Amino acid sequence: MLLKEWVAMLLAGGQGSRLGCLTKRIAKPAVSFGGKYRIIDFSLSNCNNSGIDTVGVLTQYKPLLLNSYIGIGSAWDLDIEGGGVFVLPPYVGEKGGQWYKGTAHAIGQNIDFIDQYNPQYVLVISGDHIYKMDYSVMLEFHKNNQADVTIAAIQVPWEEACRFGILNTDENGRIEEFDEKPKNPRSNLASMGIYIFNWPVLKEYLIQDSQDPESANDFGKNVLPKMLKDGLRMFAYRFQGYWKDVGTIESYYTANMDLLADNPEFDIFDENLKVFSKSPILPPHFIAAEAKVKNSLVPDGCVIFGEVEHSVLFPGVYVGPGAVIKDSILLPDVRVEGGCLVNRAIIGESSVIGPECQIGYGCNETFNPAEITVIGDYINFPKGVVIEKGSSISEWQDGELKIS
Amino acid sequence: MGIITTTKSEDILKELTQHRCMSSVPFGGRYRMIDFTLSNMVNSGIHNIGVITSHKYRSLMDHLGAGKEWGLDRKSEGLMILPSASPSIFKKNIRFDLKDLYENYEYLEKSRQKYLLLTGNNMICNINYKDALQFHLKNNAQVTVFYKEEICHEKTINELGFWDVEADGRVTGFHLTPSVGEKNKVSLEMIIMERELLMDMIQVAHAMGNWDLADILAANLNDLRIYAYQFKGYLAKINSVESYYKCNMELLDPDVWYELFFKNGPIYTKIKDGPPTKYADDAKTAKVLVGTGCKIMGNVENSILFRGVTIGRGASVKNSIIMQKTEIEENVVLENVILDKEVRIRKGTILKGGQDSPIVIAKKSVI
Repeated sequence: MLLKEWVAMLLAGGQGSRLGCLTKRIAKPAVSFGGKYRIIDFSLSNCNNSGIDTVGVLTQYKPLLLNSYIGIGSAWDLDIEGGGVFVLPPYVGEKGGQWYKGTAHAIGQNIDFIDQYNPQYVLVISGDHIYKMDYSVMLEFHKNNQADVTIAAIQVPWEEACRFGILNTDENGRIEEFDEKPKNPRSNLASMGIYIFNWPVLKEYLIQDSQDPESANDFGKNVLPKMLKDGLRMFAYRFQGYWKDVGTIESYYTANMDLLADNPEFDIFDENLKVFSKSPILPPHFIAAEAKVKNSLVPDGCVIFGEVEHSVLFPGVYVGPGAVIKDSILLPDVRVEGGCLVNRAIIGESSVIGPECQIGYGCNETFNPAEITVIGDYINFPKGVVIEKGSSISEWQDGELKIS
Repeated sequence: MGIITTTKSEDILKELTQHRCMSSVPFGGRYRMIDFTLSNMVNSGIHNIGVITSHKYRSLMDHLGAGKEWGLDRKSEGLMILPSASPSIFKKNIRFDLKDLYENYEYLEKSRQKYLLLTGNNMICNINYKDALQFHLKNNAQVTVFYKEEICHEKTINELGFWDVEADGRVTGFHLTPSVGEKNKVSLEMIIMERELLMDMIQVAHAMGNWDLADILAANLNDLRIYAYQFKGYLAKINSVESYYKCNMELLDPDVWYELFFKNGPIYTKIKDGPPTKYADDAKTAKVLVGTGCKIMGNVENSILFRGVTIGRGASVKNSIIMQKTEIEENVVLENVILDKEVRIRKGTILKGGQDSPIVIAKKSVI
């Protein structure tokens, strides 16, 4: 059988419920980020930049947009003979089928897929994070340690350590203990949810795990602790650089705004480990004579007649004459008509804000995450609607607000 | 099927065509000239397209690749690169060189489409060729040429030529000089005819030794049913540095921008995956068209920036066209200039061209 060194399995089935109306219609990995990307672009680009040519993408929650966005992976140069990107939804067999119950279950249901390639190693990643990483360096580390499992880890601020899965290691990086969301962390080395396994080892544990009715079929909760208990060689690979989970409205908002800094920690302009994405077919953006654009990101297809300050715009956004956009994120194809005031808001894809609306009304000068206003996708506001700061609007019908 | 030919004289854009052919001259912030013709063809349902390359075609080949961005990377048909009969001839005096097609006669023979669209490469518009084909069929024409009505103010020879057209669309004459102050029907250098008719004409041309299709058509106005289709939309004719400059600037009118980029379908081009353009705190822009991946820290007014341009702090750019990856350092002043790709303008430099005669700086210059 054909032997491949490694394949990647990308977990993209999560709902990302804490992103509220941004994930009402689409899965978290499909949410737009950084002026032209979708969150999954970062993981898929990392795969390309690491020399991985076979990626299985595990989808479950509202996968339509994700499926069409990924396509055959050509945007990431992954449309390769003998490899490629494969979307792997749950399926039924002769004895029925199941939804993916946990991360390990999702991979376990696709043992046949991985076996087709007969890889030595399997990389498990998720489509939820913003980061640039060359996984091949991690694989070298894995090989050098003759490890069974390597987990990528990053140092987080001590006060936040209680929110993560913490790895306690010896001086060689060998993992001695897992602490899932510890109250009193002994280390600040947090698991990034990026694993490299020797495939025969992982396969065995996945089969075992699937036969355990008590198991939640989760890597962090069940499979990895079991492996550690059995004395497998497990190492922590220390990653240095920007890594952000954009799982909440606040972290999503600040991660976008971080890109506007003069020398941002996460630099999308850096050609090293370039981020690829599926580009819409749109002309260069146009900024009219009376418009003002400051401290912002603007991609193709935008047309700006009003003022835009400290904001991130996505492809195809229209800002009408006299409209003022401040500290906001306008997702693809948003249309803000003339005279609107948009302050500290996230406006979902293809929403139309009618003339003279005020979104994020009453924001204070100083930033307070509770004041971020979120408008969902495909919302259509008529003229003059006023939305108070901190609101979250997922539906709008006949002039009635449905606040989620 | 469609065939895109090279232009009569390709050195009319001076520095801009020093290292590339007309088809691959950058235009409109992210495109190359050929993108418009190719996209119009694809949007009109033409998926068997030959592109004639005569000289300096490295950048064109690089741009087109296998035709993926235009959906032309097909197992059968799609994009076909056709080598010219006279490679490295810089000055051509022939409008539609049948010798190039003679050289690629087999491609014509093998193609299966009944109708063929032949175009030049220096006209930019957003046109639906399906309508033109309907016109061709309705008139039972053998040849359909395209024109746009324009008032000409000077009696200069226009290398494009002008058609005389009857009210019913029948072409009765062809001439090179316009009537001053009147509406003239400028040729768009686009022709529809049956593929087999073109093959016959190539045989005739071969026998006669006259390879210019325009001459053959002009000499057979009575024997062939030649009709002219009127194009009423926005048209950019690029035949000099001045017209190149003027037509780029016209894109700063939102109506022109919209018509050219959206009217009958999108304009496809090679994708580079640049990040969004970043505007700094002290950036000031008014009336600009900007590609992706630029960093703007200075003032830009009434200008077009291609991908990956950097405008330094305190720099002022006015009425200019700045191509890919060009770097404008701090406190530079530019007015009425065209900077080719990867140019670097050092700190404090001042460059001002004339209002209708912009300064052109060649690729990779450092000033």
